[in-house]
This record gives sequence, structure tokens and C-alpha cells, in this order.
Amino acid sequence: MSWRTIYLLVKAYWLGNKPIASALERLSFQRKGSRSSLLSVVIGLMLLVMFVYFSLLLGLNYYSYQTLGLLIDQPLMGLFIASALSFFGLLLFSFTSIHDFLYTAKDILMVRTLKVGDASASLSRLILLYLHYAPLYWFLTLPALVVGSFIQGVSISYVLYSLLYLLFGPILPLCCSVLVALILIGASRGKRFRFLEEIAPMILLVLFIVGISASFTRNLGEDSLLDFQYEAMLATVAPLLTSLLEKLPLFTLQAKQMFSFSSSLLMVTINGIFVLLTSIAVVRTYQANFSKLLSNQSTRSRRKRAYEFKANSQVSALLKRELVVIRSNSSFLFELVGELFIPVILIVVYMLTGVMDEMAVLADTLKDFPFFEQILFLIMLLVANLGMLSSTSVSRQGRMFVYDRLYPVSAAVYVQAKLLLHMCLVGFPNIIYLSLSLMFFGLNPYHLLWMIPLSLTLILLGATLHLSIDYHNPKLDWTLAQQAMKSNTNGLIGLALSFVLEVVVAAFLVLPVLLGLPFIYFAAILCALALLSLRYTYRLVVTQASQALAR
Amino acid sequence: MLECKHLYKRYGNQKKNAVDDLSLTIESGRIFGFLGPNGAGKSTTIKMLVGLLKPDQGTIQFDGKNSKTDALSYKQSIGYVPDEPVFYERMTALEHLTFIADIYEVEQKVRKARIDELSKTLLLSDALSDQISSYSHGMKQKLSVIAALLPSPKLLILDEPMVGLDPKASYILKQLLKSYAQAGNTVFFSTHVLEVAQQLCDTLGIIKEGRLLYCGTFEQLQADAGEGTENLEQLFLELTDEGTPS
Repeated sequence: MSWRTIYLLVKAYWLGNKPIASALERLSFQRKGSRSSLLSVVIGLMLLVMFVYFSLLLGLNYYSYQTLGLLIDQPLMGLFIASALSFFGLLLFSFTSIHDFLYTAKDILMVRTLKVGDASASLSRLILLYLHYAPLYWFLTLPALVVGSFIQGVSISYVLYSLLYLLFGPILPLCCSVLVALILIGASRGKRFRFLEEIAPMILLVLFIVGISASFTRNLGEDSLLDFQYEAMLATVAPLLTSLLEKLPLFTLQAKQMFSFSSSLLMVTINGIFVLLTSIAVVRTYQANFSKLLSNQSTRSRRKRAYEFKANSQVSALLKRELVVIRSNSSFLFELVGELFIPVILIVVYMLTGVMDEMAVLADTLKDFPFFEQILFLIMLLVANLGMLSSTSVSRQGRMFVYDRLYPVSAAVYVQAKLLLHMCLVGFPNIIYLSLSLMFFGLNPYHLLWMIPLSLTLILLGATLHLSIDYHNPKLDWTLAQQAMKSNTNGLIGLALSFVLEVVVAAFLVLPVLLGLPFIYFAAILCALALLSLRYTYRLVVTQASQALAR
Repeated sequence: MLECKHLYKRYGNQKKNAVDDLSLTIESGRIFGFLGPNGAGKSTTIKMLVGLLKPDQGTIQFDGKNSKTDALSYKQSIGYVPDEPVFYERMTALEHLTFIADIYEVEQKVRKARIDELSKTLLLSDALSDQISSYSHGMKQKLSVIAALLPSPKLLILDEPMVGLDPKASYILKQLLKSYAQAGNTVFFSTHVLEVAQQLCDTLGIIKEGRLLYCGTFEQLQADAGEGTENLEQLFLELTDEGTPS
């Protein structure tokens, strides 16, 4: 093993991909050679607001747990929750891209032909894995570290321990993720690994939601959505959390490391051991796993079925092609299934865990809220629009996008296929979710008369905006699939736009009720405005697509 | 008939044009071989012909259809086989061909017959139900040719089509291109294998540093060069001033 080679490999990857420069270039919303504009500033500000908002939200949650912890003599509860949440978050997010990072990234085939040993090649990939995922960990834990400083105040030692926490924190979940992936590759001998890779995080996600919902829903009061029953929390959650603190000593230790040298040293040692074990496991199996994955990924059909040569329209053919692109990579699939089916997963989980019955009781009280229907609509709209389906749609095509420039298909047809997919996967399910919610809360179904058109128009409006962003500057030259989606700034810009759209819609729907004005007129005005805007955003996306196809 | 008039293309802030005032006309029913040393501008020209790159200046027309003003019907008339075929690897070959047939709006009755005929000719029938990820480079190349020919284009553009093909497949492809041209269609292909060009092409174009040095038949080229130059390799090296290796 040569440290110089490892350094060169990491450097080459970095220079070849320029992840930060590329993200900034996309963030500034400019193409190479074009000038920065006011739009860049607006987009940048929107992202900053979104970042601050989510950080504050996390911070508030950690603070509430810390306060609860102080009441039960467990002052490190906030840090404990942050450690656990970021551990599982990182484990879940990184899992689907482990095999891509280690074995199947586009640059690996080139690297493997060079005079580079297994140890150097695999360790360089592990370092890249850390560099890619550490920022996510920092985003999730930094608010907890700020909140944690309220306990004893900020000191030099606290800052130093925080730095150690941030530096070493991502190691454990990433090591676990890598080890699980190695076990799965070994067990499946590379065959059907993609299936296992897709199914394993789903199971983890469901377990994660069960855990979160089991603790969260029991804190709600019966009178209002915002009423936390601290007495009930103390009675029900406190024993649960205390037992979790005992049963998950790793996170307790991680929380303690902020205030104790011995805990910090122990944590560093544990991380060191995990790094060593993972490195040995990866290095020793590298060549074998690489070979297994390279030789066993493709499938030959055993049965020769009669093939139906059925003709489809261009839109329908492109729609199917979109699904093939999504299915082409576990990262895409997991990300989208996670985004699109969270409501379904939640409902199933709630039904299985009995939370649904408790919520039914709660529903009787909540439905008398003056603008409860509007809040319900806004929540569903947020769930629908906070996704990356369309804002990374072109980027996901990668180098295959070049074929779109060859086909005798107009830009409008490509756009229509992508929008149709969005409506099939997001728009129409949203109607089902809305209808079920109304039924569940025993609300009058006539609300669907304004909810359905408004919801479909706003989702389509969001999709056209998202698609415009991606067509404007698609990230096609990705090495790892996650660069096209998770790490794609276009996705973030899309989320920020959805966030702004949600605020505007909320103002239109809630303010009239608060001011005692007839709500239905405002809903109609909003729908008309959305339709009018849709005309322009559709033209915008077709123009952007035409430019991208002609570029 | 393919007509390129005064094509210019320059990349970024490069000092020289990648393609410099290139004009050529290829009659229908002809096989045109496009030759040139590495970096001469062959791929840039092909990319402009298939619509991947926009010329800085000049026009491209095929059968009266302009590549810029009438882009969709122009594209409908051409088939393209790239030097490195790329596919959605998780599709089977049949799914891919159905997708192409849908995009080019090939009629349902016609598509099965065309796929059967082409896959039989190119010896790929048995593998059509397999996922493309299991294909070798040569098989992918064959699939790329089938996909390009499936919509029955009037102009077929191929970039280094023989690379990766075994001798038998290479022979079959040459026969296929001949019969395709005999049916009144146009074939435009780039190659470094001068023997293939000499055997197959009715017309040759030799490009160097973006400029078309020669366009005509092999016999004309031979006559222009005078005595002592019998094969294309020699003529090519003399024309491109690369010198005959000792």
C-alpha cells in the first residue's frame, strides 16, 4: 500500500469531478462562460434560508429533547438523539451508493487497469466515501452541538470536543454501511446484489420510521397539534428514552464525549478500531468483490418468451424510458421510492403499530380547527413538492442524454413525458392521499372539489419549475450515480423553489380564514393564478429543453 | 442527396477551426468514406451531421431538409451508429429496439419484420431477449447498427463501425451497407481502416486540420497522383503529408 498513490487517487478523483466547484457553479445558476445574474443571488438566498430553516428545526427538536432530558436528569438527551439520528440517517443514505463508490463508479474501471494495488485503490475509495458523506453528518449534528453548549456554556474544551465529534462522527455509520454491503455482496456472490441493496435500506427506513413515530406520536396532546403533553411525555417517553440511553451505549458515549476526555478518547479508539476492521475487510475482499460484481450483474433470460411488438406513442415510450432510467441505479430508486411513498409507508407503519387508533381519537378534536382542511392540504402539497423527481430528471440520464439530441422528437414531447411521469408518480397519488385524509378525519368530501384541481395544478407548476432548472444546466457528466441526484444542486434549488411556492400557497389559503374573508374565492383565485403561471412555466421548460437539446 | 456547404466549427477558445470551410455533396445510393488522421475533424463533422453539434457557419441539408430549420424531419431521415454505442443497460435488446421504433414511429406491422430481418442478418436473433448489460462490445455494435437501420433511414452515418466486430460480422456489415446503398440510400462512414474504405466506398473524402483535402473516387485520386501510387494507404499518407513509414 502506498499513501502517495492513495493521495494521488483521491486528488485525481477530486480534480476530475470538482464537486465543490461544480456545486457552486450550479448554485450560481450559470453555465460556463455566462455571467452571474440577479437570479443567482435569489437562488443562493433561497437555499440559505432553507438551510437555516432546517437547521433551526433540527435545533429546536434537539433542544426539546435536551429540556426533557434535564427534567429526568439526563442532560445529554439532545446530543444522544442527534448522535442516533445522524448515525441512522447516514447509514440509510450511504448504503445504496457503497457498491457504486467502491466497485462500479465510472472511473473505477480505469483505475483498476493502472499500477495500483487493491489496498491503495480501496482505501482511496473509502476516503472519498467519507468526504462525500461527512457534510450530511455535520448538517444533522451541528445544531445539536450548538444546543449542547447551553448546558455548561461554550469553552475551548467544548469547541475541541465538538471538532473531534464532527471529525470522527461520520466514521461509524459509514463503516457499518460498508460492512453490511460487504456481507450482502459476499452472501449473494454479487448476484441479485442490486435487489438486496434496494430492499435492505427499505427495511431500515421502515424500522427508522417506526422508531421515530412510536416516540413522537405519543407526545401529542388531544387538544391541539402543537400541544405537547409534557406530563405524558415524562410518563411515557422518559422511561423509553432512559432505556434507550442504556440500550444504545454507543450514542450515550458519543454524547458524553463532549464533556469528558476519557469518553472522547474511548470514542476515538472505537472509531479507530472500526476504521481498521473496515479497511482490512474491504482490502482483503476488494479484488474478489470487484470481480463478482463485474461478472454477475448482468442477467440472461432463461426463457425465450414471445415478445409483443406493440407500438406506443412517443410520449409513452419516453415515459417507460424514464422508469428504466430510475430502475438503472439503486440510488435513484431508493431516493425516489423514499420520497414518493413516505405517506404510504407511514400509513402502513401506523396501522401495524396501532398508532392509527390513537390518531383517530385525535382526529375528532382536530377537525374542528378553523383552517384544518387548509393545513391538511398544505401538508400534502409539501409532501408532494419536496422531491427531486423532476429537478434531477435530465441529470439522471447522464451521458445517455446525447441520444435525446439525436431522436426526431420535439422538446415539447420530452417535457410532456417527464411531466406525465411526475403526475403519475406524484400528482395522482396525492389525490388519493387527500381523499384518504379527508375520510380519515371525517371531513366533508366536498373539499375535494377545490383540493383536487388546486393540488394538480400546483404539483404540475412545481414540476415544470423543477424541470426547467434541470434542463437549464443538467449534471450529465457524473461519475457516481448519487452525484446526479443526492449531491445534485439542481435538486436543492428545486426544493428551495417548492418551499417558496408552499409559503405563497399558505398565504393564500390561511390568511383569508384568519381575516374572516370567504376562503373559496381565494382558493379559486389561487387556482386561476396557478393555471396562468403554468402557461408561462410550461413555455419556460420547453424553451429550456429546446436549448439543452440544441446545445 | 447530402449537401454540406461551408461548414465551420471552432471549440471554445481554440485558435484553429476544428472544421474549416468544409463543403461536400454526396449523391443518393453512394457509400462515402470519410478519412483523416487523428484530430483531423472527422468526429466533429459527423457530430454536426447528426445534429449533436451546431455548425458555427454553414448549412447541412439532406434531400432538401435542413438540419437546422427542419431538424425533426432531417433527424427522421438519418440513422447513426456512434463509435462507442451506449445503451440503457438494463433493457433487453428487444425493449431497446421497441423504444427506438416508438420514437421513430415505426408502424407495428413493420417493426417486427424489420427487427427479425436485421437481427438475422447480423446474427443477433438469439440474444435479443437478453439484457444489454450481458452483451460484448461487438454485440453492442451490432445492436447499434440494427437500431440505426430499424426506422429505414435514407442516410446512414457510421463512426468507425468495424471496431470490435469479428471478421464474419465485419463482412456481413460490409455486405449490408452495399445492399443498403444499392437500394438508393446514402451511407456516410468514417474509418481508419483504409482497406475497408478502398473495398467499400464509391466516394472518398480526406480531411486534415478541418479542411477537406480531397473528395472523389479512388480511381480519380489514383489518376491525380500519377504513377507509382497504387494503394489507398500510400495515397492517403502522401496527401495528408504524414510521410510513408520506412
